[in-house]
Amino acid sequence: MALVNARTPLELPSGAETTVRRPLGVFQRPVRPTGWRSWVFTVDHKKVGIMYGAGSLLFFLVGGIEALLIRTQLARPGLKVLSADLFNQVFTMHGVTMIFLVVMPLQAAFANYLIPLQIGTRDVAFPRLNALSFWIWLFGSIFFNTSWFLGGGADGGWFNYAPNNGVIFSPGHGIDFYAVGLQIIGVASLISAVNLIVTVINMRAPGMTWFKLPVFTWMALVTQFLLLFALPVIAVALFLLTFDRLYGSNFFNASLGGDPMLWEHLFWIFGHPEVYIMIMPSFGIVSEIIPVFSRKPIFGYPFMVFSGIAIGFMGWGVWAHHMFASGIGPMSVMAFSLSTMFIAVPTGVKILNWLATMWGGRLRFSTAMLFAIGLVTMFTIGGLSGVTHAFAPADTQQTDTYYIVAHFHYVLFGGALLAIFGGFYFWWPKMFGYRLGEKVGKWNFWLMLIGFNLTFGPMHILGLQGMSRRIFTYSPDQGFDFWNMVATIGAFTIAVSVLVFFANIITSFRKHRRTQEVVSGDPWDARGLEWMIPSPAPEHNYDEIPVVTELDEFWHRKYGHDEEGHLVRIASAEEVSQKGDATNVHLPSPSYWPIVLAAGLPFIGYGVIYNLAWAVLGGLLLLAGVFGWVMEPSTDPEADHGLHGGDDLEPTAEAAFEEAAAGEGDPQAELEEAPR
Amino acid sequence: MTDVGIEMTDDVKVPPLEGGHLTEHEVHPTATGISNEKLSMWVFLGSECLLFGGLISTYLLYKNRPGAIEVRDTVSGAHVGNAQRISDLFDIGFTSVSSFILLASSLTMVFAVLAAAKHQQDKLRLWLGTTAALGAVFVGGQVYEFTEFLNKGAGYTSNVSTSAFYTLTGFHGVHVSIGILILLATLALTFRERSQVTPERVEIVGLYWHFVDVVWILIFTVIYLIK
Amino acid sequence: MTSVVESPSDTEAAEHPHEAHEHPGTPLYWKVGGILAVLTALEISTYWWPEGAATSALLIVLMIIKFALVALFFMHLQFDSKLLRSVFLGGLILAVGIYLATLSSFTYWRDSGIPEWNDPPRAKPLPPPSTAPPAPQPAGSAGH
Repeated sequence: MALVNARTPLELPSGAETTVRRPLGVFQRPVRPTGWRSWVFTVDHKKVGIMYGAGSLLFFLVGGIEALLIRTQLARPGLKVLSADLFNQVFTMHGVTMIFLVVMPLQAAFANYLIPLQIGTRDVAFPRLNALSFWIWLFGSIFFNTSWFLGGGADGGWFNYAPNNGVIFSPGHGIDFYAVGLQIIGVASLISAVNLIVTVINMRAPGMTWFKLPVFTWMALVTQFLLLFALPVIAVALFLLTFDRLYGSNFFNASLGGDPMLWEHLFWIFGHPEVYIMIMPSFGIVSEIIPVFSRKPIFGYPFMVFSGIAIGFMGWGVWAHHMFASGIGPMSVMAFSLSTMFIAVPTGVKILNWLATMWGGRLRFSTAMLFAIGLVTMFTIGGLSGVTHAFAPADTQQTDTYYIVAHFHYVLFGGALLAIFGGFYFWWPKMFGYRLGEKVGKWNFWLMLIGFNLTFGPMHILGLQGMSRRIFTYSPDQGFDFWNMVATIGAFTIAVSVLVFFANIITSFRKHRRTQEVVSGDPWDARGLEWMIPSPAPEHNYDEIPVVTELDEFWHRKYGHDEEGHLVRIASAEEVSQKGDATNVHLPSPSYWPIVLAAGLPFIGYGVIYNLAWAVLGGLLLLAGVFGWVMEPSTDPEADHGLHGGDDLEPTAEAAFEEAAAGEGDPQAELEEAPR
Repeated sequence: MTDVGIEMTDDVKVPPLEGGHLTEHEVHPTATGISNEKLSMWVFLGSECLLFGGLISTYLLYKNRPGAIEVRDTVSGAHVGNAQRISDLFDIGFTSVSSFILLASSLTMVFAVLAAAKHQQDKLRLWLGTTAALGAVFVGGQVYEFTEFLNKGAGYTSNVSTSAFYTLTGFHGVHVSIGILILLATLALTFRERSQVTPERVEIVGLYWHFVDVVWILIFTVIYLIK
Repeated sequence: MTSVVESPSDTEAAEHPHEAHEHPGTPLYWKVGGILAVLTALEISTYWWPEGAATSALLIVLMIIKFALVALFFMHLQFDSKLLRSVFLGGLILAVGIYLATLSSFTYWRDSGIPEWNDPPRAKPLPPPSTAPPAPQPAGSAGH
């Protein structure tokens, strides 16, 4: 099963045999283990995670090109690469793309792939809903980007303030695509949040109490709660905006009784938890990588957990620090200024704990480790500039300048994204069975780090010198020329580093295919449960659900301590790992309905914007999806999340059927013989 | 819960289902003892609080914002006044009756859940149907109320208070309507052989329905009664 | 540290909570329903009481009681695991807190006590809402 056949880079070997499934539902469920159908109809969390990752990387290129356009336009004063109007579209779409179409779904990719593995279970609580989330996200993202071809992208900035977001000042359809597109994407994340919360609460392996949960899973769980509670708020804002733009209401029109501040409040009540949503999983990734490459457990595990929870709670109390210059009044400004200063504390705790983890450890500077250290350093810089924003009088100078642009890119790119790249390098072998090249990886890292600092470092200076945000050009006598040119050079350096990353994927895959080598299940000598199974991860995850007795369970099965407290190896990784060859495992079946249901939503979107006939079509697709889904017998996704792996708790008819089928060993023959 | 993909054929022995319901052993243990489905509904309802909170807040912000509504007599169409707020046009008597109906539907929902627990299929269907019917009466009442307001001249875009009011109550009405559809679908599914309508699933439908009722309790007080 | 109220071995209890332990039966539900009806009638009656903070406060209290009754009894939270209560209450308290803070910021918290730091006063106060019928207008005059 671990042998490599001629396969495209994205296929996984199927683990269990597939047997005939003749459902009671309307149609026979799809059963192909390979080919495009095994991806389009999959409900396997690992495939869903990989699809999220692939989609996000694609949109990363889109957003990156938008960034390069911005930097080209601003390289020198007075350039006319982009008109002012087009520039507005490009920076708006860049922002929305990077946030909703790149960073958030990349975090979802890791959360989807890793959470069931890290808590020792076979899949998420609701596998079909999981697939649905992905397809809704994908279709929503494509829908959003079709605005480019249908009259222009959204152009009000990613935060899209009123009254600029209304029809009077933005008569085109760009912002309609923003409102409807983000609504669709929000639904995807909300469904996913419910799914993952239930998964983590309910489906942990036996013995995995809360304080044995890996830090990544903790951070991802807090993120899901943030999503759960923040998304409805922006849903309200987007609904009100849509009604304003399409049905003539005046929720944000001050001249007719509305209040633009309502938009700001609603948006930022979502928007601030949103930034924690973007960074917290990355904190988790770093907390997984650094201990492995320091050969030390994470320092202060309880503090890591509690600080994460604290950030989750406190993140709700700081939103109006985005509104210091909006006229909320001095008392509110003071209150939010204070709360913003406080929220730096738990993050500082994390930084100290990562450093303490590395201190005295036996450090290995693999590419993943480099990226993780990258987050620790770059996020610190971004966090410090963030603290300077917390002081409202200072912020009044800084706001709407490039100083802010520098801050959020340091925390989002230097923080969230660097860790994500680290996660790619760390977990790639688990996902695909081979490592990404380390030498090329180091080029990737250093080019990216240098390019990133060249791009965004000077923006601190530009901002303090007075360069405004969102201006499409500047004049030569303002003194911004030099640093803007440096920033543009840096941006293209980042672009090269991204190309190096993709080149690394291609060359590593080619080498893997050529040499037919597959890495072991534990190539890094790591700590978590996910390294206990073969690489690439078998479809059924664990042969037998592991029983957990302590944090970093896998590590403690490999290593113990002698009398002097030194680390001693007590078992090789192979001895304590699972083989991945269980065959009597019942998995949730693939399904047509998630993608059918999801396909209805963009049509409803087009209908809302253009012509209700489309919405009717979309509604029918939606209903068909719901109908088919409900009629299909719900797979019991918990079928093998019990104490025993392949063994069912009680012999049921279905188990008997499966044993008969497994005994034959030839699924194709079964297919032909099955009664109907 | 039916496991996936097992056809009822002569070759395969399937354990007989008790009275058309699924056997309890097919639910697998969770770390907390609460089923995934029930937990997911509560998690979702937690999120819905934020949604309705936002809509209620929008109404509260805009309920007194000026903007004339040219009130017309519903019969003759003659102009009879200028209301500034949608709340000037409320008919508390009518809405009170609506409120009692929705409250009653919550009670009938509870009886449906009890009947499901006792495996009393006929009673279950009766109470599900009654709940759906009461819900439909409520929605009908809302539609009538809105039509009255519209005829009086309070359209969606008349002023921000009407916009906020219709948006809030409209969202609630849509939630009730979806609830009715779910109730009817559940009712229909109880007629299936090997019905998947377990007592717990009825309870989960009930949770959604009660939440919708609870939101109405909020709306009725905050919008209609508090001046 | 798993918050377990019903251990996994009580799965059957979880599946049939109505049979496994003390559980409200029909009479209790009728009682709760009756109380809800009475409270609703009381709420409606306040429509004819004089307007004031006291009336509004009473209405809020009644609303909270009704909310709690439906949640605890009809939605079974009284007898279910505390986890469900926390998840729901979490969302509820968060919603109330955030939205109260937001709404209050529109009218309150604007006076810092130091006049120089405050925002300038509104140019014109909002006209009080009026429901008086419009004064008869001579034909041909512009509307308001």
